[in-house]
Amino acid sequence: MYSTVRFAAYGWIHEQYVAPKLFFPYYGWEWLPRPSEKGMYVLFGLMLLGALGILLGAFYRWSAGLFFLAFTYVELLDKTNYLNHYYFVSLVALVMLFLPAHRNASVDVWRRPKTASSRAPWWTVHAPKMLLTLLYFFAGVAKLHPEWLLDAQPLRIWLPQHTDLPLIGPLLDEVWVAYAFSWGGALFDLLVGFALWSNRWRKWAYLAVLGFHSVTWALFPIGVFPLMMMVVTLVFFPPRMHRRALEVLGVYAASARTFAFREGWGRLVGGLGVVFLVVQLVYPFRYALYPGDLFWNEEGFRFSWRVMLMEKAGKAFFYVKDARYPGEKEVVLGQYLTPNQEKQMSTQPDMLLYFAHWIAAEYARQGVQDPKVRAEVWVDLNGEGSHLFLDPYYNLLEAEDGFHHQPWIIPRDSVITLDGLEALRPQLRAQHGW
Amino acid sequence: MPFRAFLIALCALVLTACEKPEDDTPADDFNRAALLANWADGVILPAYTIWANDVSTLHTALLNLHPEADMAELETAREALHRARTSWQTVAYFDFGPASSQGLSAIANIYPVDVEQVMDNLSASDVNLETPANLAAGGFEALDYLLYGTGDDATAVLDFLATETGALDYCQRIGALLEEKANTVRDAWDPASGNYRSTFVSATGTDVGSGLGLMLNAFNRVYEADVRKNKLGLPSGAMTFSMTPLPDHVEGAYSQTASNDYLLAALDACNRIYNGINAEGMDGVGLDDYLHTLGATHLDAPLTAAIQDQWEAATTSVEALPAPLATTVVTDQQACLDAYAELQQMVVLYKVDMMSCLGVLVTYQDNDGD
Repeated sequence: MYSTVRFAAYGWIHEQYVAPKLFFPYYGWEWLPRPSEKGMYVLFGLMLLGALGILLGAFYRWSAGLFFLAFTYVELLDKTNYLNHYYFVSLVALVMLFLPAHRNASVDVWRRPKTASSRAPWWTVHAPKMLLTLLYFFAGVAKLHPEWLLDAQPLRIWLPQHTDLPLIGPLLDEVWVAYAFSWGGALFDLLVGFALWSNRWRKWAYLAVLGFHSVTWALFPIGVFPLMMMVVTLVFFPPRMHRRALEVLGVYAASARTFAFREGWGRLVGGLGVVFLVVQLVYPFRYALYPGDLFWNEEGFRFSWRVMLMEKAGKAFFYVKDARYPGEKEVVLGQYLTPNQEKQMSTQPDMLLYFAHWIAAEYARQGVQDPKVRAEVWVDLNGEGSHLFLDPYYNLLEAEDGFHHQPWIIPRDSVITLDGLEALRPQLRAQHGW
Repeated sequence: MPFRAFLIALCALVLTACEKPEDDTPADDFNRAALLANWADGVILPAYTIWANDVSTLHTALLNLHPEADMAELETAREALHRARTSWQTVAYFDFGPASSQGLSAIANIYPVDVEQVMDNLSASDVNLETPANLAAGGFEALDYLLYGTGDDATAVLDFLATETGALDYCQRIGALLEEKANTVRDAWDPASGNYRSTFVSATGTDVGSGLGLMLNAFNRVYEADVRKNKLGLPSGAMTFSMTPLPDHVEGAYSQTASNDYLLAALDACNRIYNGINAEGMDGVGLDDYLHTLGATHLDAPLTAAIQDQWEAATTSVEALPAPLATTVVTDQQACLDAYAELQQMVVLYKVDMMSCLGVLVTYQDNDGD
């Protein structure tokens, strides 16, 4: 709810979903139609309505479904805007669709008092907790990475930027602080998801949640995520606490009824739940099937709870060839991309590939014959210094997006520098017949 | 309890791991406020003052032109145009805050000039030079056309200015608008009036709206698009499929002799801004010091060295291009494209390596670092 309003208030609907000339769709979702400007605002309106319905427990299943569809639709439109916490919201919304979260303290119960329940199957109570535990745990596992633990990267780059903060500011450019934050963060993520389950540790774990997310909120531009986590982790507290809170608010409906799914329906939901859980457990590990450096290639990177793990920056120069001429034209990216799209694209191979195909189609439409597209892309990962990212004379139109490894990504350890490319240029050009 | 044992083991692991890793980059405190203050007081304010004076001199010289003006008076005006356009090259980088709200760079320096629009405007009585259609018919390049391009030689130009209705008046109106804008922006920065200086210096964060964020995002944009692309890329044909050189796209296409100098002035300015070299030539707090403090490296060498070396290589290759540039892009296009490639390497070092180390944001949007 808050996030939707914040998004709209900052004018981001326009900036991210109306202004761009093109979107970067997810692989397999290219068919998703792009709403018009008006449609976009309607979509956000529906999202808000769904969120409100969930909050009030009004027409719950419809609201939850509406919110899930609207939110996910928007997220699927352009992967420029991919954020792990948006993915998490989509997942939670999907799970909530199956939970009886409207059977107490809700408008639905007020409408039909008979449906009020005070108990529900164990898994409906635990499902959101399991999701949270997964999120924290995977975020922790992702941090068990040599660069994070042994080099304290990227925190060593990020922390010194905040030396002007009160109190802790002056400490932030100390190297040992970066190490302490790296190890502390990894430990927190690995443990907190489990500690929150334990009656004994819960209080301390929640204090750690408050502390950890306050720090990340102060240091990093990660929007609503810290606030969301502080609130959402409250589900770990025992039912009686939630009940008391509802009673204080005067909305708790005393009822001895236990919510039960209809016969068959319950089994179906349970089966789906198991499949969902298995997918969630396995999917983040798909990166292991790809060769090369995960942070560099970003194959199997998204949807895996890799949050704030690396400092990656890039700059892409695209060149298009018209079959009628010997030369090539440099593309002025600002004509087609928003600054955020250009920034995100410059470090992500699948986005670079998509843009190559898009710009070829655009030029073909303008009458360019048989366009070929190449890109010189420079990427700096965790402050090691920029070096060449893609095979600079490979015609990107020959490659297709997909789940396979893309061999035109130059491996991270084959360092080609700015001067190095100048030396190789004639040879590469000849090799690719450019 | 196994959980507690696990916790203790992990803590022990952390403690041993934290035992003073090799500390090769002494992390001194860097004071971003000092960098911003040096930029504001040593670089930006003096640059605006110099430019506003030059523009005022230009306006006066244009007002001194009259139908019977002689060669000397024309020469004075041309000289003043050249000076104002040269000092503009530094100011151009500060395209944020007051300059951006005044639309300064679009009013001062759009080229090539729209000659047809200029000719239409001469006879019109009330032309608003700030409308989008007129941006390419005003500013320095329009003056360049009117003072050089309206005749084959100075005598012919004087003749044009004397006889063409509205020509002198149009020159003077451009001069007046430039002076008005220059004064407005300088006063907006001036601590004694608008005091944007204080807003700039006190925003010590690294977000888009911070002093550093505003400055660097403008700096990178201007360097990449206005310097690299407009001053050399477009004229040398890098932006067209046929790669045909476009000599009429140089800056100062009618005076011709100064295009190389403007590009060199812009390169010099970018080096001075980066190093924090003030108007008196003193090397103050700059980005080099900041990067040095952060221990920024570029493939195992200091990033500051990589940037300085590349800047020198780029400058050398531009210096080697014979003037006028409009001729060189035709006679030795390859040399121009090579120099352009050197300018391009600077974009990578500034925009990727430097920005990554400084952690300055490009947008307001949330990110989770991937």
